[in-house]
Amino acid sequence: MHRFANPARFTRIADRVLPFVAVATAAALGVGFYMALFVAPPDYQQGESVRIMYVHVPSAWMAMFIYVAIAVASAVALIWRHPLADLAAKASSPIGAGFAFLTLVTGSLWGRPMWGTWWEWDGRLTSMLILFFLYLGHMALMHAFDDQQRGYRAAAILALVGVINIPIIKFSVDWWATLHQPASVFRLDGPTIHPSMLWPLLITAVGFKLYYVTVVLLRIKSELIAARLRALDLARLKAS
Amino acid sequence: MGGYAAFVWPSLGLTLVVMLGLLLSTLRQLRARQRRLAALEAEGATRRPRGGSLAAAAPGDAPTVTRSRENERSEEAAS
Repeated sequence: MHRFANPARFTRIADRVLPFVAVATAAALGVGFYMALFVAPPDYQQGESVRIMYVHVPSAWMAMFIYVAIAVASAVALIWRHPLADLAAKASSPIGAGFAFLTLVTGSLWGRPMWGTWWEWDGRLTSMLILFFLYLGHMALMHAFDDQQRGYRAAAILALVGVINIPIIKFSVDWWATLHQPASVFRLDGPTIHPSMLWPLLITAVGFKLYYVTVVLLRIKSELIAARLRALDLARLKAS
Repeated sequence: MGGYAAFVWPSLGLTLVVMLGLLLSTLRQLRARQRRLAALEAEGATRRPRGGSLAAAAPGDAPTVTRSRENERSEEAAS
């Protein structure tokens, strides 16, 4: 990992990887959305409304995955003081917040016709809402201090404390069986969803993951340049 | 869409809007920062040519600051 913590090397590798990841993202999302809309069958109970699943479920997976990624980056930043780890966390949280937001809104749009309600204080829904707020808090803390390092530290601690919410989201459907359905893909006894729906779902999910890789690499690159600009500005101020 | 069009299309549409919006704002910010850095780099380069990628130094580390300060000094000397 240390080899990638060098900003120059990071930028070089990112530049080399980005075109491939970007093309793969477009391909996976293109195929995934096409299959979700035109190939996957309607559900025998939910009809066409099941197509919301193909954006709702990958968004939810990404919202949780990115939070764990931020928590890992935060731990690395706190323990080994890698400047890149802070920037990776900083670059990730707006993307995670976007996916948490999409999970909530598409879930609401799916819940209205299927459950008869836009919102319910169900365990899964509530814990996902908390995840969204954790992202907002993380983003706010990052910018809350004049001394940037203090902001990064505070945000890293919040990210590590908040990671407790991830297993709560995962198991909420088993602990509080109120409205949201339990897991149908990541189960000990294998997926209970039919392959004709599972494949479009998995391809879309891969597309979402690749999208995250693309955008986070661009954002880290951008943060590195911003850090350079700040250093240059500071040098100017000191010199004048 | 079997009567669910009002729920399915907004879900897909909003997903695309959020994902594209995040990508575009990221690219715009990156371009703006790259432009600013290039401008500063060009400014420094005309005064005191010195090689090396600007991204080569860790953010905020000492050599970076020293080098820029030298740029500033040579700027004063030149004027």
